[in-house]
Amino acid sequence: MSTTTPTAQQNPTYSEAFQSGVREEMKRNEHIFILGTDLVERGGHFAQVKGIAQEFGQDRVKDSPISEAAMVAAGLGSAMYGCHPIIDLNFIDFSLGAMDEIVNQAAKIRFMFNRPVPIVIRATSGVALGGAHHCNSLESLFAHTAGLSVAVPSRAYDVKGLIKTALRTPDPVVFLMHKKLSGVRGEIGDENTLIPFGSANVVKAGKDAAIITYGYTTVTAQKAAQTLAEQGIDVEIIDLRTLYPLDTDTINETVQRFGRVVVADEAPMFGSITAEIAATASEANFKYLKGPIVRIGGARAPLSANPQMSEAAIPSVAGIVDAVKKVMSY
Amino acid sequence: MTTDKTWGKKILRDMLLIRNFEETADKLTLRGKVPGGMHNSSGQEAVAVGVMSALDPKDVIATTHRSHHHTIAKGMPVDIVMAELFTKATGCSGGRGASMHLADVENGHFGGNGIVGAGVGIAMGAAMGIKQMGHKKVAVGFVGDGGMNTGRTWEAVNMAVIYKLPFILIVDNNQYAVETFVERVTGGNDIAKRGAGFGLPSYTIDGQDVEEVHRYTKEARERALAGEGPSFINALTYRYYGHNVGEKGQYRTQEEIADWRSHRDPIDRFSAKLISEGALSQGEYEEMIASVAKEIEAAVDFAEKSPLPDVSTILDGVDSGLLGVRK
Amino acid sequence: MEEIFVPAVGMAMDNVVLLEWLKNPGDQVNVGDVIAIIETDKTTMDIAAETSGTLGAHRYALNAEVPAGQTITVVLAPGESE
Repeated sequence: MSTTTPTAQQNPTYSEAFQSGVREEMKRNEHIFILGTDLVERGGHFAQVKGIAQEFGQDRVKDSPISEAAMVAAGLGSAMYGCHPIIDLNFIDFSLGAMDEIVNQAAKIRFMFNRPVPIVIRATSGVALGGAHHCNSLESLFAHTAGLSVAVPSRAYDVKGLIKTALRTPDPVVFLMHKKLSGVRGEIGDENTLIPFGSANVVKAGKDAAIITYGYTTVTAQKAAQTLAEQGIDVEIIDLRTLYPLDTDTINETVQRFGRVVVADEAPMFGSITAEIAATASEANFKYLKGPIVRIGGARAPLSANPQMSEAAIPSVAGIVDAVKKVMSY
Repeated sequence: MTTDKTWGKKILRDMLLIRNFEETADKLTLRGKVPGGMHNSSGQEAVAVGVMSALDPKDVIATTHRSHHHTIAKGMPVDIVMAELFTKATGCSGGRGASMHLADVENGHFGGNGIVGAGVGIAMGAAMGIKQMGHKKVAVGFVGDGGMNTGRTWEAVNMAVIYKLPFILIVDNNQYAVETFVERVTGGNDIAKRGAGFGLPSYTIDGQDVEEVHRYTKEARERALAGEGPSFINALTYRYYGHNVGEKGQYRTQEEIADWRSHRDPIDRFSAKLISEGALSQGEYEEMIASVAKEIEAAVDFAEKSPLPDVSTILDGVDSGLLGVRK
Repeated sequence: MEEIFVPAVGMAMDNVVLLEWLKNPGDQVNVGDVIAIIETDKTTMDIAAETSGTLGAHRYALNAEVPAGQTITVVLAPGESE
């Protein structure tokens, strides 16, 4: 029989960590408001803002029509005016209906008009059940766009620390929370714990090879690390936490230290952020490498609703184990 | 109704200033002085000046790809506008925007835009900001007839209605989306009726009559400030030139253009009214035309002599840097 | 004096090529007369006079590349010189 420790049970979930960070910042800054669908009663589809409308009122937590372009437009216009809105797009897949507002407007206004656009675009992301229209991993698109920063937390602690930082920064931040992590409990920081963007976290120290990853793949990598440990291979796991800014210092140090590196995520591998990491890290650290940096990622295919098909499209524990063994073979 | 003399002269001069700016900038564009070209608003002055004269200088606007007239009417000095067209460092966007991205956010100009309908959403958002902060201001979103058929426009209108935002939508309806006549692509053919369907006061007005535009905007602003929510104004107007400078399309007849120019020109109509009411003498009118020409000439000179932006700054200002920037 | 120039149109400020001179220096030209034909990366274009008068010197040779916006010749009114 497995027992859960009382402290673990008291720890908040990943979604509650978001609530906690947002609540604290809303108290601190009266110009923060949240706009999105199903926020007031339901508290968002992942309970990420549950109770906040009841606490702060419907002037600050607004239920929106399903109008993504207008939601982001409202966010960016009010941000230009001086508010700090959180636009909750529910699923990141729905950001595509507001891509002009995000890429052509929010991301570029500071550069062209020297006006800050303090806006958080929050959405749930990542591969889970839900099929082709609810499982897109679009983080590379946003990281690719100058003017946007991208957070991809994997733990409750990081969710809270990163959303607090985002809400104190006058820039557009795309804040991606993974579906499969919503209910995962963990410690969170206090009111003054802010996590800087561009700072990776060593999830597990190791001595033979490193896996650089983010989001839910951090969990898969940890499982792979257990399997590898049984086979005598000790891997380090780096969780990037944000994709832009990217913690290139940690990436370079890791590559230099191990010379054997796997970069993993579940986004379609073709043209993904893992390619960016592998390419720039190889270029900068070629002489330290024992062999090529190995990438593992998602299939370049729409996600299936069928769970087995969907699972097969993204890195498995066995897939990561194999990738690590490959770098160990150099 | 008789026009107030001082007000009338200011309005007329603003329209003349825009007309001269556009005619001058058009020629300079053909001479290669305006990188990327521009969209000439000649003929549409009354919409810009009529609306802006009914606003407070601190009210917010967001506009379209054709926005010189709105920008000048909003009060941006013509030398700054011209310098931006020339992509000079002294332009309002430091040369980063050019003709389509004129802005002065600090003073309530939330930008021209390269994306059809996007200004409506931004202005709606500004209106939400105004309401959040409890300010007594309005935000005006300009859109063309072409923007009547993009979804984001109506998303923004709906949102303005349900949240009762201090928002005014102005359709600067010059009747052609690039080369496409509005009636060919607009189901129902009644734009104001579409607005009315969203439950906000909606009007189609004569956009060549600056006083009519002023009056409707003023009433809309009063409703907005009284907490009654947004309004929708479809102002019928006409552009004398092509969609972009140098375009000589075959999509409308020379007779049609000549008819609008000779019978409905907003400047001719308003100057004639002022003269007939004795508010303006022919001599004063000519002096006004000459002073406007001089102002535009100085603006061109300023733009010509202004420095180009420093190329080494191309990575500057992408974000605040507070989250860390990867060079 | 009317300057006849290659108009800068479109979103690329490319050079154009002077394909053909249809009028020579000293020729009498009338409003609307095509003076030269140019070729851009997209299309060929007629360059016409907007006034009447005598054509000035050709400032670019046949097949020369002309930067957009540049004057290629002038139309002189009676009594005018370049």
